[in-house]
Amino acid sequence: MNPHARPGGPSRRSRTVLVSVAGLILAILAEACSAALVGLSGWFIASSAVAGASAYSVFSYLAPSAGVRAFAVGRIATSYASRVALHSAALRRISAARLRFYDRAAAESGTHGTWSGQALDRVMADADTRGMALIQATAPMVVAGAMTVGGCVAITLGGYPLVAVILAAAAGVCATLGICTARRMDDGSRTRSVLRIELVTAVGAWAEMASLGAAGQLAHRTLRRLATFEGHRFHLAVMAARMQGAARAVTAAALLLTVVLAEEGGAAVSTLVLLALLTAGVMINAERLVAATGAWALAGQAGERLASGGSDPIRRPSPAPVVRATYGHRGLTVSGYRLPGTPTRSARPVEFAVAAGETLVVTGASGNGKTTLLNAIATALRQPGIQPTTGDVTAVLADDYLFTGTVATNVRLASPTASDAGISDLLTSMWLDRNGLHPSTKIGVGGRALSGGEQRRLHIARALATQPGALLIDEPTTGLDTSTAAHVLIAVRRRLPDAVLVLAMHELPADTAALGSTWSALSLD
Amino acid sequence: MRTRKQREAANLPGTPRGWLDAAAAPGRISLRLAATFQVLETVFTIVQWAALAWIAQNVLGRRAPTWPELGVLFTGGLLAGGSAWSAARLQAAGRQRISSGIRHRLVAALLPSRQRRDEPDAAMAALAIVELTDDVAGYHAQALPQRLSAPVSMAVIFLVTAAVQWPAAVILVLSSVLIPLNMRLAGLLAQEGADERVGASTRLGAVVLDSFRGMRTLQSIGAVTRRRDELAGADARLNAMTMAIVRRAFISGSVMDVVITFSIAINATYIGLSLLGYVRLGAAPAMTLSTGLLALLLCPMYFQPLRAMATAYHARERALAAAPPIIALTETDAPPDVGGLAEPPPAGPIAVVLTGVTFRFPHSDHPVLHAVDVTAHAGRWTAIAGPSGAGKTTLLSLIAGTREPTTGTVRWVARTASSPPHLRGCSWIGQQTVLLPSSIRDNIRIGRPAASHAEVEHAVAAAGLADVVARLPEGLDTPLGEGGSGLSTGEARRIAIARAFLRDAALWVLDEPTAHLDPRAEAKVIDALHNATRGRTVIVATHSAALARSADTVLTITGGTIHTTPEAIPA
Repeated sequence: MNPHARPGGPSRRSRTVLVSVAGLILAILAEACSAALVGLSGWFIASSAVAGASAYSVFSYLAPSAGVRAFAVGRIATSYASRVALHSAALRRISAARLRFYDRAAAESGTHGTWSGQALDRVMADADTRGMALIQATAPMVVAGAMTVGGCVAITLGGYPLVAVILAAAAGVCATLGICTARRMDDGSRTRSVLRIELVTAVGAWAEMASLGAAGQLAHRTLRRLATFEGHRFHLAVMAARMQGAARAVTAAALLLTVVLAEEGGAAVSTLVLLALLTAGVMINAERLVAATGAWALAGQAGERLASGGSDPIRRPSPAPVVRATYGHRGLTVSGYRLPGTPTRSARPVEFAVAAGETLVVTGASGNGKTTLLNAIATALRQPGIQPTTGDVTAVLADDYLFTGTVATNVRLASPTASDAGISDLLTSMWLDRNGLHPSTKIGVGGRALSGGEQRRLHIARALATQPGALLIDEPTTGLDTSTAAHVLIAVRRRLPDAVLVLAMHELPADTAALGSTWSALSLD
Repeated sequence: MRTRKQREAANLPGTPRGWLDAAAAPGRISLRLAATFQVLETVFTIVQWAALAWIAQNVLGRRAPTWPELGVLFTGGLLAGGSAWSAARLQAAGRQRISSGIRHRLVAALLPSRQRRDEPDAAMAALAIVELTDDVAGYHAQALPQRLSAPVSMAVIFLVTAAVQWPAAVILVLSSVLIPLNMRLAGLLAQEGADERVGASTRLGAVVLDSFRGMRTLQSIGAVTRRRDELAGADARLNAMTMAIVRRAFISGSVMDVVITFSIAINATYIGLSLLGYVRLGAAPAMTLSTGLLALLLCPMYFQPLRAMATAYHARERALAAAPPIIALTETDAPPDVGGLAEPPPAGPIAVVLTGVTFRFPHSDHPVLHAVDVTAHAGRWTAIAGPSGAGKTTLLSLIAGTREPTTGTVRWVARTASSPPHLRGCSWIGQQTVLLPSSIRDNIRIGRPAASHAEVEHAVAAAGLADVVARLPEGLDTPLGEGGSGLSTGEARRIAIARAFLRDAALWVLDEPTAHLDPRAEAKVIDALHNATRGRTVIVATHSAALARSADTVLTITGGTIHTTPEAIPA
């Protein structure tokens, strides 16, 4: 769909297109067989009736009844094949949409907050809607178009151009009804999103209103908003129902006119039945246009949301504090950071430089901005342009994430060439072997099978695998006892003898020898 | 014993299934009517086809169709369309009634008019009210009428066919016998591999969620592309498995197709050959074009309702998944309704005394607050600082009486008497101000509707809103739109202050009243607060340095205990 996207490369994309087109053609054939089956059956019965009524008839039932069987088999085969092909193509499109969204999220560096599972579910549902539009919107629209054109051509060739005109006009009216529906169609995701925010506010404001004795009024107001929302949805549903009913009325009129015109045109009874059943067959497809265009509009809205990164506050970006950070062979320099004031501290500027092989310990009570500072530096260093390679600076942040899988899959994300022996070695240096961790140990969803201290050490081990030139670690010793904490600090320095280390800690370790020979401290208190 | 009890509980109304059925009650009448119209649609479609068959018979006899015949053909179609329209409309109405019923219950539980012991998860509440409710209502609106109308519609078609050509009805019966067999087959085919698919889809879900949650980690360790390959791989595996299942499911769908298609073909052949005179069943009624054609046209209609019913399966799954969270939110063990103030707060300045207060959430091992002994002195400002999640809001709700301590006591103490805390006895101002869609005056008078004009003016002045009101063309009568449009967040917060001032409580409990404000707006709100609370006891939780500086005492919560910050912080 999108020529600029690159999910899976061009061959995969062209295969998807190929499968979609094959599925659509098969869907047209299936519907054509279906209409032909009913039409031919009707013609066959009528012809049989004519032949049966006359004394000397040359009517051969063999050819038409063979035709009926052929269409029956054709209908079964093509409808199976088209369903399989269309589903296969739709699933491919869903995958492509997911990957496109992943690429977009990856491109927006730095500003990520947390993704809630619910918000992500909504994004994935949008990807589904977008992919399934092939089955719910494109296929019925293409089939209706093809059936109308095919039916009109066949009827014109049969000598009833007026009937063909009526059929075309009726299908056109159905298409117009569909477009009217689509115009007013709204999946309500914007309204829902606003409503969700208002509800969160109302739940949050309950205490304030209740202390005023006005909780009843708050509930009343909330219910009124909900009633408006429901009223709007009801209105849309009624509109869609009206359009669907109107389409049925159009079919009834088309059927009436077909019968009248065919009779006026002097059609034999078999031709009249055939024309009526063809009209009905085409119009069944035309009626589906109303629902299909609605689905098309919804898929379009889902696509727009995907393109803009989701309708909801999926990510809660905190305004990134301004900091200038540069890293080169001489070390890491940070300047231009203004530490905000808190109830126990006034605002002040912060700047520092750490040379290669040196350690800086940033200390401060929780809530005093250590994490914010480290995140800001990590983000500033990730900005493209100044740095030689991204691998050179690695950060272990407070919200570092372990991916569902094994210890080895997590380390190999950072360093794909890491051997099992190398990973075991890393685990040993972090004393994780003492907790019974192997490269093949499963760590559970998001690493939750590990204790907090184990998770932290695995974060550090993973970062060490990249052999960074500068390593920022937020709270390296959280959840560790004193001796393990000291060991971890020593091991980090031993693994990276010439690296710049920035450690954010609650307070200096009891044994500062663990920090090596050249270290300095910066207090944020 | 316990398991038997649990098993018994599975059938009680409180369980998802029982709850789901009960939730349909408000819309049941509309949906039953919708089912009736669905049956009528079938009936009128039969009339339409009967008219066509009748006309064909006449044309065979070289008689032009008469207007009554054409009229029946057209009217049948129109009425069928009208019935479809009415059914859809009634379904929408039933849906609205059901969702509105659930939403009323949710709102009543989440925003009760008197006491609320449990602080609900606001995001979950919003999801339940907006999305989950729709899942439940949508399922009922679709499935309930179908379940009622399908057997009736099929019976009507069967009876009409039997009346005009019973051999054709025999064919329908024979193919109906195949349907349960087919359902069974579909079930077997779907089950095989379904577990694998659930496994693959769970894995993909985990990979997707992991990938987005851990995006920053991926960026900092330079693994964005590697992770993408993994995502694509998991996706491809899921698709392959889904396709395998879909293929099998379509095979069972095709079996249904074979039944329908060959019913048509056999019917057509039998009718055609009977008309030609080649076949004659001894007891069968004489075949005519009209009866033959009608029997043929009704054949595909017979299977239509079954197909529609099959699609309701996923909606049901979704509705069942939506039920437990809604049940959890609506069935909070409601606190005994105290009906206003049990004990009126003592008159005069109030001090708040916490003695040995420990608070632990019901299902948590670690206490949020541990053995807290603190006094907030009467007529003074006490600020509570501490990192997010340290328990500031919990402490405030203990002080205001919206929660009860696990152990220890909280008392409001005046010079001569004391009382337990009660939300209605204090003024609470939170992070969010809700303005009702009425005038500024009514919004300020919300806590004391009988307040005089002079009192409102006084409150406006105390909250520093005089300039703002003077700027507005209609002054105090200016209507506020939804969400208080026309006022800034800081101005809305000052309206909250004016409201509280008018209520005139001796104790003010403020939960981050300057959150989301820029420094200038914050300064104005702090001024207004000081103005309005002269001589009152104020307890304020805050992250703001400016607000904390203006307090007499600053308490800091860390690790569940409270420390008093001894000296004032330099400005």
